[in-house]
Amino acid sequence: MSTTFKFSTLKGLYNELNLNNLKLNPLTILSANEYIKIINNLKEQGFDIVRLSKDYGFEIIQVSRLAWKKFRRSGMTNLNTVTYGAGSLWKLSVHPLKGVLTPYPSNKYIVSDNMLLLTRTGRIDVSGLVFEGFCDLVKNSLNKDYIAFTEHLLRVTSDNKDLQLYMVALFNSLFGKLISNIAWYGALQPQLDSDTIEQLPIPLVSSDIRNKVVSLLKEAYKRELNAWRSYFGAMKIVAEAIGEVNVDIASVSTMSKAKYLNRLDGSALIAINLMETVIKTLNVNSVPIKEMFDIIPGNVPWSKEYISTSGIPYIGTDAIDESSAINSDKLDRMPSHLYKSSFKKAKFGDILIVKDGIGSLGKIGLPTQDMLVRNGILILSPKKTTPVSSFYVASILKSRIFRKIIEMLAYGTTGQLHLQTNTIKYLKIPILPEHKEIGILMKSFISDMYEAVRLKENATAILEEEIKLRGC
Amino acid sequence: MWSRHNGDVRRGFDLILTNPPMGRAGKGSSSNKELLIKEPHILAQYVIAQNEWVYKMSKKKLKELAKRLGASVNPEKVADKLGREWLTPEDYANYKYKVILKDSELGWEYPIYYDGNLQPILLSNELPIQVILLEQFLRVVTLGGKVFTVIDVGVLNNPGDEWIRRLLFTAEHTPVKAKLMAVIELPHGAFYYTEAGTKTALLFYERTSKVLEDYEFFVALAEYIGYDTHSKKAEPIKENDLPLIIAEYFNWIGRRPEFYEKCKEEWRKERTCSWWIKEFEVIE
Repeated sequence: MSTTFKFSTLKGLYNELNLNNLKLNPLTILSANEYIKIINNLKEQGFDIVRLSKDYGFEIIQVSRLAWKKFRRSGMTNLNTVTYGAGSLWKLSVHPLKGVLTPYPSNKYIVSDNMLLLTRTGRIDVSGLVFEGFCDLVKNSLNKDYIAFTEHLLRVTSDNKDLQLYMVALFNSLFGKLISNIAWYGALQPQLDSDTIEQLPIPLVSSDIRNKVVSLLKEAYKRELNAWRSYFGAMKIVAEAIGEVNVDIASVSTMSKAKYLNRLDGSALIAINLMETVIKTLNVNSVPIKEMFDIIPGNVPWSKEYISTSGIPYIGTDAIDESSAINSDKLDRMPSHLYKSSFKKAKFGDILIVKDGIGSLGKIGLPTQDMLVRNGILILSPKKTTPVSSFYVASILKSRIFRKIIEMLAYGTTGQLHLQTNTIKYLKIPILPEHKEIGILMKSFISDMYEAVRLKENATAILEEEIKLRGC
Repeated sequence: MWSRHNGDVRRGFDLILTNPPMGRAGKGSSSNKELLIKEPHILAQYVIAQNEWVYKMSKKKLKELAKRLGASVNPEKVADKLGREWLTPEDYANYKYKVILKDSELGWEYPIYYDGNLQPILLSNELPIQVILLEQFLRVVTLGGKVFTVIDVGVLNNPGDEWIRRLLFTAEHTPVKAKLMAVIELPHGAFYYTEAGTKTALLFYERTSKVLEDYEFFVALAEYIGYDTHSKKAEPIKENDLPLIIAEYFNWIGRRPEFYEKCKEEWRKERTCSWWIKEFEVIE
């Protein structure tokens, strides 16, 4: 997009938006131009305009920088706080698993439920809400005393909870993208200017649309809270059953195991010994993966032309979240006409395992719908005779010790690791007495999370449609 | 040459302790071609270049072989017919000359096959030096002699190198056979200071007269080795798993178990074992 401006027009435009900063970068100028047109159209139709300032019951808080690394190393050993940074926000929410344990920083870094968080540095167009119940959920599940957020997030507070819900939807819509385009600065690392955010006029759409958005989001957050409760519930049972297992640095193996694995490296042989120790300690039956699942390597190549806004869901490693939920933001879509029948698909109830890359190898994904699977991911498709739920198996594979075992079974010499398709079949899954409960909890985590995402997308879409309809 | 200085060496070394050129030569112009052996007259002297694993054969080749043997096109059936999982120039029967290379003092006999033009018949046309050396070491140690070598971990775990592992440690038809004693995996960057970025391991094996069906061997995973593996300066650091690993190995073979207990205690607190390093580093 491009256009021409008189300098005085630009100043007038910034005045209308209450911007004190005469920004000359094209993205800000063009976005501001578009923004003011929408605002003026909405004003003409009688829509209210608010600002995120104290006059309207909001407050934007920007806390000062804390040298977190130095702070963590400062000798304070009581890691009683879960601290979230800019990378912890996703899908109008905060991701409970993306925090780090730190000592208690100070009261100003502590946040409470219903706070709106805007990413201040980095991916500045991402914002989330500390949904009702989040803080207690994390504190109870991780057994910690405090929830803190770093200075990389701007906090927006308001007593009006419904208005906070509306704002989070707005900031995650295309309209929110325009706001961040106007408020950003910085060359190397984009930053969000809190003064601009505070001064910009923000439209309130009609109350019936707002109510729709708010009620969808309330239901979404309720689902999301339930989902995370189920998740932590399942993983807690698994962790308590398996307990703490130390990884030995040395062990004795046998040639028959080496032949079975077709490997002679220490990592793989120690991994197999470790798995056997875990199963023996648990004193329960175990079933090899190969008896429960067909193991199918994903085979859809990556190609730019396969990435579209609509079509068949098409999953790569990035879309598999640490929690095993599928991050729909990162789920690509393949245009239907490019689909080939030889492409492998995963379905609800299958398990996905990432088989390449340091850090991502061993990640477990649980698809919520039919989706094409990119190479680099294995599909475990349950056989009809599988004695336990695949959601239970996924919970075991996700446990700290099994993730470690999977990582140790990878091969590669120069920093890039791979998991051989055949290697997975050697894994044995211990069948815990609580397997049904764990399977049900993990399944409801995935279902609730999927529903929450769907509701949030609906809420954002309704709002976007209204703004487009009335404002453009 | 060694035997000119010491006649006993004619019967082979008792121990080879070595760090040969490791790493593999990949494809492309920037690859380390000097790490490959391509000379056919050298390759022909090694079993590793004269054997092909039936499970690794191309479909076309397997089909031809199966047809000739009167077996179905299935590696297992072909192996049953051959009486082993390996195909040698002997099975092709297309060689014109066969030379037997024999060392009665070291106790092995190697056949070398030539065609009508006196060109060696090979089943691998090029191999990394580190792979050839694994076999070479076995040829120069006595029966029961030990080999302790650094090796690129890829040889121990890459699916494509499975045939090497199988040929060395499980094949019964080869002139020199090996029994695996221990594998100690080193952390990434163990040889970073020498510009070698590959992940490596210490492989310990011995020459044996018979391949056992099954036996125990020692495996270990060292995360710290007493110097910084992330920097080319390789600055010394306190953390070192090697003393404990050595103590665990000693304990496993039933030697000096008191070392193990003492070492483990200090390692749990300090992730090193200072007194054992002092003890171990005394070379008399």
